[in-house]
Amino acid sequence: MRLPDHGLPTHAAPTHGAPTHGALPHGALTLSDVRVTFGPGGAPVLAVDAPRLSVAQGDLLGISGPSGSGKTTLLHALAGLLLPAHGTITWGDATLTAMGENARDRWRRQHVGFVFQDFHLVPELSALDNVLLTRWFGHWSAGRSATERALGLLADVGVPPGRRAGVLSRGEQQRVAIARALLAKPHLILADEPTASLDAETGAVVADLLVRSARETGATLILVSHDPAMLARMALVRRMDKGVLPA
Amino acid sequence: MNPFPMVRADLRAMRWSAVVVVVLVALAVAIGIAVAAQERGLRQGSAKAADDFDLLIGAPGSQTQLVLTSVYLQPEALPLIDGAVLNRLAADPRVAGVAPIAFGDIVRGYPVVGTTLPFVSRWGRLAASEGRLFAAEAEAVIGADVKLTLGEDITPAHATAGETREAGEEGAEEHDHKHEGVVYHVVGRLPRLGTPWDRAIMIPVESVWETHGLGNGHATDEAPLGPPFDAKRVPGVPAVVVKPMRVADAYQLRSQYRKDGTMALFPAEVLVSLYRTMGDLRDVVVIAAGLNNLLVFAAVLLLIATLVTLRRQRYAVLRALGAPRAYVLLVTWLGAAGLLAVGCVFGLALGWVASVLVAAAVERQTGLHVATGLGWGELRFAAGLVLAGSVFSLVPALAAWRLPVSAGLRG
Ligand SMILES: Nc1ncnc2c1ncn2[C@@H]1O[C@H](COP(=O)(O)OP(=O)(O)O)[C@@H](O)[C@H]1O
Ligand SMILES: [Mg+2]
Repeated sequence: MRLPDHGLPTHAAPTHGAPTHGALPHGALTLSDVRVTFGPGGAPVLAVDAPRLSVAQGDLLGISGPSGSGKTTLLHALAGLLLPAHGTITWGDATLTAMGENARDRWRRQHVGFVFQDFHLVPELSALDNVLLTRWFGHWSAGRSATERALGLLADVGVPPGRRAGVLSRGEQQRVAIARALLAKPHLILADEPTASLDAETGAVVADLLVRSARETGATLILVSHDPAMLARMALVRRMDKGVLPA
Repeated sequence: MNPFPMVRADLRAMRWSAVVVVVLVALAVAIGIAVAAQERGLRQGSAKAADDFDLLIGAPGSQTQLVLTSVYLQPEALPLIDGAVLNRLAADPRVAGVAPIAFGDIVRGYPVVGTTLPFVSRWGRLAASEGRLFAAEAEAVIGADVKLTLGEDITPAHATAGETREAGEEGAEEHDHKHEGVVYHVVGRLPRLGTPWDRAIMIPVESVWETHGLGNGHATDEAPLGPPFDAKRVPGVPAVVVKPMRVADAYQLRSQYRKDGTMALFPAEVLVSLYRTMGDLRDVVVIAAGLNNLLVFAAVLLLIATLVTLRRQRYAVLRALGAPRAYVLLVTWLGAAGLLAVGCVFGLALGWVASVLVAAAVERQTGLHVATGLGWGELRFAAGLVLAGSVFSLVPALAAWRLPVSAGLRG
């Protein structure tokens, strides 16, 4: 693995859905009275209960907590992948919980880079094509600068770009998922246990890449992890338990 | 937007189901096309063969028999009608053309047909493609598919019921029933008609009468060929073909010659009722068409089922990554349409080959030329299948939108 000593290419064009205004929008993230429930209407199970949370643009927030405590569900809500049963989530001027399905999809496309706990790569595509996939949502060709950036990111995480995602190890898949999330220089990076499948050394490199990417672009990083070394790099750490994110 | 990397990925994920879908669709389309093309070709071909036979007059009996024997030259003995009918019709102002059709002899399995020049030239429409038309009693004109050479001398034989008519060969039966001393000289060949008459040897009707010891139908031996037949007793003929002046004349002539020892019919009309009663053939068509629909249905269902199971999580992943709805739908539609289109192309090719093979077999057996071009109907059928099937495949993709992305991601 090559340590990213060169920094990220800065000439990369803004990718899928460039920010609507030239300057970085100031996306302070706030939650109030958010409750996510699952199950039948009569007897819903409370999966997330977050009375209050506020994250300034550019902040690094770590979230820890035992399995099943609602961390993934919370990140999904923050990304607009699900709508809480109750409460409001805002990002800058936008109220996520008031948006329609399509608007949330568009908002996510423009601002969010998500590292899924289960990676969710397309197994039939190469590592490089997986990283470039989001480019094809809006362009015929991925473009040279994006391809160079993708190759740079894959080199940073140490995964051969031509290998089919389906044959990669879990650790390699996780790293491809991280490279994919970072490609478009998102304003909000949500990473769900991004080092869970990695050894300590690789984990450190990946943690470094995530933190450095966030710092370089001024992005907000919200990261779920059990890894003390990882959490130590966050400005702020909150612990969830049984769905509750204490205020 | 570039859906193709994802379309490729989807097809790779489907693997064998994709192959099965293509094969099923190809088979279904091929069967549909072969059946439709054959049925249509056979109808057109057999109708075309009856083109120059507006009105047929024969002795009372089976209408189908009269049509099969004179239009399709199926060997069958027919009762005769009085030859004087020929003169009466020739003098009738409602008649544009009249010709006898007399058969019963063969040469090397080819039927020998006695008639008159107007009908050999199909009422003046045809000229000889080689040589010339007959001008004397001992001369013969051959159809396009008769394997004899111009200038050849041939001796007819009496066709017997048990004779296997392998065209081009002289069977033992034929050898035993030769009309010794009778020789026809082949003087010309007709262009291809695409009908059983391409395998006929045409001679003046006078020669048929002479060969069977009935005189030549004229008062003197030196009379020119053709009507009027001025013998005291004109020999009988099995069939007379009439070209009426106008449609109204045709109906009048038909009703007039329906009585007093003759039967008159429009071959086209007999063919229609023949198609209607060809139950066996129709059943085959119906079963094949039903099987065909079943195959298409199975293919499309399999496609949909595969799509639903394969795509649910994938739709969610694409959406979670920010793919617009149009992208996901385009990927889905292209994948399904691509599979169906490939199946249809193979099916069209396969169906075309099958109909060519069947047409060749039909032509070899009956001399009937069956046109095999792919019709608009077949292309429309294939295009409709691709369109309907691929649009149908969008249903699971659209249904996926009702689910929160989060739930889709959890599978
Ligand atoms: N779609 C769902 N339907 C029902 N229950 C769910 C669903 N998603 C998550 N849950 C439940 O919500 C709780 C929190 O899950 P999760 O957010 O995945 O926890 P964590 O990521 O902290 O391990 C769990 O009890 C889980 O079973
Ligand atoms: Mg989780």
